[in-house]
Amino acid sequence: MREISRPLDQGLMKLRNMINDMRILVRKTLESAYSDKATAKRVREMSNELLFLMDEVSDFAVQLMARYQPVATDLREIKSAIQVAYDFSRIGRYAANISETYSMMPGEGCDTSMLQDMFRIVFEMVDEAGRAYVEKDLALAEKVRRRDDEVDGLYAECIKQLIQMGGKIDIKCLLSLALTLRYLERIADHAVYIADSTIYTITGRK
Amino acid sequence: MEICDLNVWYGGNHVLKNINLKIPKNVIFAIMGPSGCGKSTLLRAMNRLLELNPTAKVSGQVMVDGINIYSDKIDVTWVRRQFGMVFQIPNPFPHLSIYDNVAIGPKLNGLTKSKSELDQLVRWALEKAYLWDEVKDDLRRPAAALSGGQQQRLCIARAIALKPRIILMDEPTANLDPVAAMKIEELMLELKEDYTIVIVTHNPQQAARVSDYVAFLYLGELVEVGETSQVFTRPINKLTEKYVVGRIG
Amino acid sequence: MSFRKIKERIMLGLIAILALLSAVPIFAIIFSVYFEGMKHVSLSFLIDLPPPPIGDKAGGIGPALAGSLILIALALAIGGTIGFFTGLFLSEFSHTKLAQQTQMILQIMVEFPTIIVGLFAYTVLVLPLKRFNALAGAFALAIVIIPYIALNVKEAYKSISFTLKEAAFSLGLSAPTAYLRVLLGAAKSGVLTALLIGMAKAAGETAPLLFTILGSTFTYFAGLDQPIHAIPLLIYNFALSPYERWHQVAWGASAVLLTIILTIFLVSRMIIRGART
Repeated sequence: MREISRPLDQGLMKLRNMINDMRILVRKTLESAYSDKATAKRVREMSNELLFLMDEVSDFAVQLMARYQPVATDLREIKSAIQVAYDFSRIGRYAANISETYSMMPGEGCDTSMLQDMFRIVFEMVDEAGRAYVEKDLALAEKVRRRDDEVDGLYAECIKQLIQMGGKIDIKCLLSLALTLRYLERIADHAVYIADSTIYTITGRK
Repeated sequence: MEICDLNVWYGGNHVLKNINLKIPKNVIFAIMGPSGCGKSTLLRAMNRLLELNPTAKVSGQVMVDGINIYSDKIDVTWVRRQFGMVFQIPNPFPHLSIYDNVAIGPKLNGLTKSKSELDQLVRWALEKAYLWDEVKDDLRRPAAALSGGQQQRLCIARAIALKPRIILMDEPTANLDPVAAMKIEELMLELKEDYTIVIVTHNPQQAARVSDYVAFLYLGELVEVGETSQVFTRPINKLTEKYVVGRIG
Repeated sequence: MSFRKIKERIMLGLIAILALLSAVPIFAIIFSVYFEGMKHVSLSFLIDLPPPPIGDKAGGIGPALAGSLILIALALAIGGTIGFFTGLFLSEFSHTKLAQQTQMILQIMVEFPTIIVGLFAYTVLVLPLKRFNALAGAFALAIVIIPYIALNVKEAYKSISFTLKEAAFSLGLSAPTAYLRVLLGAAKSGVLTALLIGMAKAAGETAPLLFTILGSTFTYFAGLDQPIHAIPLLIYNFALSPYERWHQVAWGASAVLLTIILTIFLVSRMIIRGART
């Protein structure tokens, strides 16, 4: 039995490259949003770039469907690519939100250390989900799914802390911490969606 | 219809191996696979048309409404009348008129009692095959004067004029242009209301478009059978996957 | 013009001349037969009894023409029926040993000296009846034409596409119905041609008639168990006779026979051409 290489294969390769570009850009966006408070504008630009890439991916995916009427794994991969591109673009948007929130945070007397764990986990999830998708790694995708609970627990705990701190800290500080937590939690959700798409691509199950 | 442990040999060539299939009523059941996989043979084993090939040998059972058509007590002409068959090349009888092509089956089988009854049957079959409006003005024209797509619809009319239980189609659109092919596919969906249709195709896209169930045949073996929606989104077998996405064929 | 092209022209010219040369005999025959024969042919020539061998009396080939027509019809009825079914058998059961052996025998029969066929008819139909008779002649002619008809009918049925046969059988017809009432129509022109070839053969054969019908030169058809005459036999007898008047009748008969055979040939060509378009 000889396997035939098909024109669709080149299209799928291009699609994978586009998703991989988005994956790398998302990591960079997220990193900059958290570590570098001076570049809110730069992060916003990257987020827009991701939005643009998402459009490109979905246009190209639709074109592949129209041209080749893909079925089975091909069809699942293309459908997932559209979703994953959307998830990446959402993550980019939340990253931009985070960096904007930071810029309105008072320069002194606002302790952001409580975000550290949360960010580390969420960043890892995004990184792992992206890798799992690109490398078609089922085990890694399932790991990302499991970490969702971890994020949810941490989120609840942090909110409780914030409520306790209540009147003791600056209201601007409180607000930006709460918002950032919320954004991070949403990003974790999208990382899980990416893991879901990965599992669907590989197995056909939701 | 149910096929149990069907084996077919051509001479010493084992071309169908232990086929087991259940085909529900009023569905379009597609059999797909690369050329030479035995799908046309399987179709011809269903109505015993395979016996025209003197080297073919069959074992196993094909049950139609509880009757094993390979039983010694069953008359082969009766079996064939239970099926209408449509072939890959539109093959109306070229020396007969449009009318006679449809009428000859019922006439020679003595299905109608009078000329007017036969006329009615011919009209009914042509209407069912979406051909009546195009040919009603001159039913005496030779069938060979029709276009390829019309000829194929005439063959469908010829098949259903026998009022069969099941319609067998052997790559019915392989020799038609896309528009004519689409008409046939549309017609199949219409005919599904009254008949069970078994279609053989080497075009997985066609199976995906028209069928409710699909079987994948490879080198004489049944690899996968399932609902079309499942087979084309998440086939279970790796070989089926490779075939439907076009990696083998 | 290059040398190569000149060479090519010369070769082509040579081939054309040779091709024309091979056609010369046939046209020469047709021309001489009609040139010598047609001056004797008239309506009464076709009907009348032959003239006496001496003198200038008018006369014709009436008994021989009538006899030939009867013999052709009889031979075709016998040989056509047997040949047709044999051909059908050869085509549709070609995988059987019997068919393969039959085919071989028929191919030998085509090459068989027809005079021996006449001798055979003589022993089985003339000796027991103690009389030369029309039936023996028809029988001999039938045997002669059977292989031609069978082999051509076989080709006619073989030429029907397999998918058309499948279509006929898919309608749930029995084999006789399928072959005779549906597929015969599709093989029509081939079968007709086969019968015409048999007819032409029967019309032109002399040798099988020598020992079977005697040649009732001066009497018309008198019954199947009686002697009968035929044009080829008349030509043979009269041409060998020493009488100038009979030689003339033989020429006229030749023209008539040639006309019959050319007509059959043209009709079959037309059928074949009609089937193609």
